[in-house]
Amino acid sequence: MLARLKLSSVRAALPSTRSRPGASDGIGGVGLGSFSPALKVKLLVLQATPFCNIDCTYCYLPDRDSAARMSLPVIRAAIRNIIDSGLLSERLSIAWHAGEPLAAGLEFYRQAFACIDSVVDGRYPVHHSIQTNAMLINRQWCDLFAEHGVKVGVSVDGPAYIHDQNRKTRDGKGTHAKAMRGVGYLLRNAVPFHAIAVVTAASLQHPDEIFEFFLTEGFREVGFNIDEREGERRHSTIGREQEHGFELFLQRMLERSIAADCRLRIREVDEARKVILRGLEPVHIGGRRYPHNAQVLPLEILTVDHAGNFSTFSPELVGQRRSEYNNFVFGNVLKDTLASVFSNPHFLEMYRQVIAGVERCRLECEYFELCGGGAPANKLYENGSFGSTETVYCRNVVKAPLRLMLAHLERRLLA
Amino acid sequence: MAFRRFFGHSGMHPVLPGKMPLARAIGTTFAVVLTAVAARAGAVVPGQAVQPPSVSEKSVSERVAAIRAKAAKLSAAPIHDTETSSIDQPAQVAWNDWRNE
Repeated sequence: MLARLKLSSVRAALPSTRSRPGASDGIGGVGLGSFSPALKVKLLVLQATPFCNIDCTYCYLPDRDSAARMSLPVIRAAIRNIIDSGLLSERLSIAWHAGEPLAAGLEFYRQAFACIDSVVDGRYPVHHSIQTNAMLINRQWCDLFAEHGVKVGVSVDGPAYIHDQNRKTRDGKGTHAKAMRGVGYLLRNAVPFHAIAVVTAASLQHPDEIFEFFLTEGFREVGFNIDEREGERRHSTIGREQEHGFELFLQRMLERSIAADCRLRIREVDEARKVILRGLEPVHIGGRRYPHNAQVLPLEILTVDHAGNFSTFSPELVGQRRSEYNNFVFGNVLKDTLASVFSNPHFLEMYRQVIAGVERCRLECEYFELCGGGAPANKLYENGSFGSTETVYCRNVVKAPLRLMLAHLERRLLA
Repeated sequence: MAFRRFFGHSGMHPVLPGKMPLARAIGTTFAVVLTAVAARAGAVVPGQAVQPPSVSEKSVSERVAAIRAKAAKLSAAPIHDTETSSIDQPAQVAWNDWRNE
């Protein structure tokens, strides 16, 4: 989620939210040269297929029944587009995400990886990661993961009685057993993996059970995503009344992780520790300094759907419906350059709103230097505007872990 | 970690045969004693109530600055947790993170 534009002035970088797309408010002057350090695509998210083989209650994806699949020409065009635009960083990081990526099939990935390698031609290291429900994993998948060094993230919410409440097949059956069968393959074949667990209100009652599950089942790192209101998901079980419970949940995870000699690491607290100790890299847009936040920088996260349509900022926006932003599609890798977004009125309007939201965060939030302006998708779906500020995501995923880690580091380092 | 082998996955209950009252009583007593000892030693005990983090009157930026200043002074020696006599992994990692900046 990193990308930078060239602005001719601070005013141009921070356009008025009252301006209309294309109006002479300075945003039209934004370009690749407006950013320092220069814009680079740090993460390419490829949506091999929108299809998912299960039907989770909290899913935000609208097209998970579609069996469409990305073609090799789209993959080739996406990689060439990044390289030809001079936007490739020191390495090419690709995340296969959205829908169930493994549903595209083993042969698809064999061909896709070979295609990518042929375009890159050894000029850059290529890092693949994949987020999967693990139900389709077998020995052959493990061989592929090992051969290409694929980082595997497994979507599992904890023990079966928690996981199966929400992660269900289309006919309503639980998926835990099949997911854990896939995890078993990963373990037996020594493929490294981590977990991402969605936390609902029901999960908050079982922090110890969830921790024990991940530790004893061979996971070494888990990230906790909260049940969010986003896209197709119009409500969440995590409301304001659950937020204190979520902070206690995270604190329990931190305590248990320390007690277990960090054999199970907790993503949220690790990231909070890192940002407290290191800070965020500064990014200058049109001469103005911002703390780095990949989700508010154009093109830093580039998301390409199965048809080659591309978007940026929050990856989960791809596939969502919003006519005022052209459904968040800012071009197609088969015919448009990435730099063309800077003449796309839908992109410019969205960028204007995103930056307005970042500026409001700067003024209103004491965590701004540790965050850089939140998550645009959450702002839109919770507050109705990219130009808004605090969200449920901010309070739970940004502020709560930072509060916990500040207190922890103070106890450990300053006592 | 041997301590936890006495407990099931829920982390709460001793794994003992249900139809052996004497063994169950002994096991339960043993678990209670171990739990009390562990709690006294400062260890995290499954099922223990979680205490909310302390509230500071300083601003976030002041707190961050103080932590970073202290982290910058830390030596390369492992930081020992005086409560558990073990290496405090988060502090060690925190220090390593800072050192590797």
